[in-house]
Amino acid sequence: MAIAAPGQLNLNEYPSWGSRSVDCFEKLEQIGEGTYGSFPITAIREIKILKKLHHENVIKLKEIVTSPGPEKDEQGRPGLPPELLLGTTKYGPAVDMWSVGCIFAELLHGKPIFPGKDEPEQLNKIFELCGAPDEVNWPGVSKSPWYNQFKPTRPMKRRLREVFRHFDRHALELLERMLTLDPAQRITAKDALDAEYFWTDPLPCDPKSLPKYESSHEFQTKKKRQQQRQNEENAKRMKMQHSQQHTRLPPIQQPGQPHGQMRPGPNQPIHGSQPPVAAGHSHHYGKPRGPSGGPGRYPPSGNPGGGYNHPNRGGQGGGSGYGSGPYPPQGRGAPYGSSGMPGAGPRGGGSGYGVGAPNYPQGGPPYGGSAAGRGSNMMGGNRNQQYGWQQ
Amino acid sequence: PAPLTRSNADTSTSARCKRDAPRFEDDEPLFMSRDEIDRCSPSRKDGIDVLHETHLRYSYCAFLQNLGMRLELPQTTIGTAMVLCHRFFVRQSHAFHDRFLISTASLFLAAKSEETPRPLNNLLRVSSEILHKQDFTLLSYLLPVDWFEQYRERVLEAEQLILTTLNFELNVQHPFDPLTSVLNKLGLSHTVLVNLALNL
Repeated sequence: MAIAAPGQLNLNEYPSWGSRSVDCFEKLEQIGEGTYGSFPITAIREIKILKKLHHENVIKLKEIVTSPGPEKDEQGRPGLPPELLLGTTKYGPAVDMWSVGCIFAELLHGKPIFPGKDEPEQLNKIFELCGAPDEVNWPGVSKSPWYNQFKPTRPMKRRLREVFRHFDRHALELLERMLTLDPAQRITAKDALDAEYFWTDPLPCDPKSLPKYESSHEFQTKKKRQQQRQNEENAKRMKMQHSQQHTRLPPIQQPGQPHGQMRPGPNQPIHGSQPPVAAGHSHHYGKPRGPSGGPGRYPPSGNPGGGYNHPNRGGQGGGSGYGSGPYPPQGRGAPYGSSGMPGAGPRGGGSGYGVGAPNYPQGGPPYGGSAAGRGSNMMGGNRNQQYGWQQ
Repeated sequence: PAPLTRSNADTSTSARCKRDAPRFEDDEPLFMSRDEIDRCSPSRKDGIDVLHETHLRYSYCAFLQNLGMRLELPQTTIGTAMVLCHRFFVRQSHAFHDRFLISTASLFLAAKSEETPRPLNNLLRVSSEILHKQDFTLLSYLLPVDWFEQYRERVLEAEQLILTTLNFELNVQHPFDPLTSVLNKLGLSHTVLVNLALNL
């Protein structure tokens, strides 16, 4: 037989050697989805390292199976820091702080802040927001492998403060330090914990009181979103059919709340530990942001700043530690003093801090009773059942 | 001889589908002797004799050296690509896989594996120039409209095939470092011997 013709490649026959196809396995659980098309250098790097690695603390790479996936990766990976996008191979924990910054900003902004479909596009978005890197703001950047290829042709100023000027002052301060181009100057996790943002009202809640979610992987999340869209469709249909029977509606999302289920936005209270009944009439969406004239959020007896026992701040808060701080009383008592007014903090009623009982008024006069109006009112209840959140 | 990761015990009788070939228990690299490579190469049963295969081997190595130098890749990367190709063709037959497609893809892969990545389009451009012995600008006139996209697609498929065939075994140890250090110890680091040895 002659040798192969130019361009010939036999993909139909499985080689007797090599890695097996994914087809020969029964799928128990999928924890993620890889990329198709060219094999990314990061994956190759990782596989090489894992193959060499023999350490008791590292699970051995048993086998790699592949499938000729038909889908294309639809989006780049958001949250990649500029140093990786510029091809650096020596990087450290700072890459994660950048990603945290991206998520932080996305939570406040309501949508991804660097939506690029590929890496050059993402890099460009980063430059547009954070300014172009140069030897002044990032010493050594010009030695990055792909710097010359990607460096912007026109001067670009840092516009972060301007674009996100509507953010809380301390949030912006922290974000500014997380989204610092130079990884060496980027804030560390330790310093970030010490940021003003976490030490001013509204304080972070006791982590223990956060709602519990079932494990979330991108694969499941995707499915869930599909399910959710389906539910929304159903809800719409139901609404048209029985406009009165709101209580029967399946959970639906508020418009403009892209990932509401997983990420409580700044204006949307967590439905967390709220009993289903209360959930029926206490939601208040779209609570005005910005400072309100209401009384302070914490009862006078509260222990300001005591909840999170930070080593550097211990003195200030009385060192009460998790759980014993102001949270339980704050949550279960009348949260906003006797006035019943929503003491909206700088970020709208401390939403996102659903502790014990929620931080927003329950059936208080201003938002009084009645399951009136919104189908979404059942949401809290439904979710409680669905996800087994803490009661 | 190309270091291999698996015994070649059943390559010659390789009607075996990889689905039921769970030979993944040990990770000990296993080596094949020159004789085993010559006897058991899958190209044999397709009527390609030892001499012919040696010639084919030589031709893709020359191609890789040329391609790699034009892309200004270090010799280690080029060497890795060659070894990947050898590893591939001791598991797959020359009768079914165009060696230049395989070598182009393996250089792309080796460049990533050795942390000297090259943009795929550059690589494709240079490789097609070498293969067609034509300037790239001319090729667009000579070849069908979407030839470049198709070529790109083909090389990516080949990349995938190499990876699965080699079971992602991309680590290649080169003799360059020990060689230079020995020459250094012998005080021959500034002689023509170094260049000579490296180009062997």
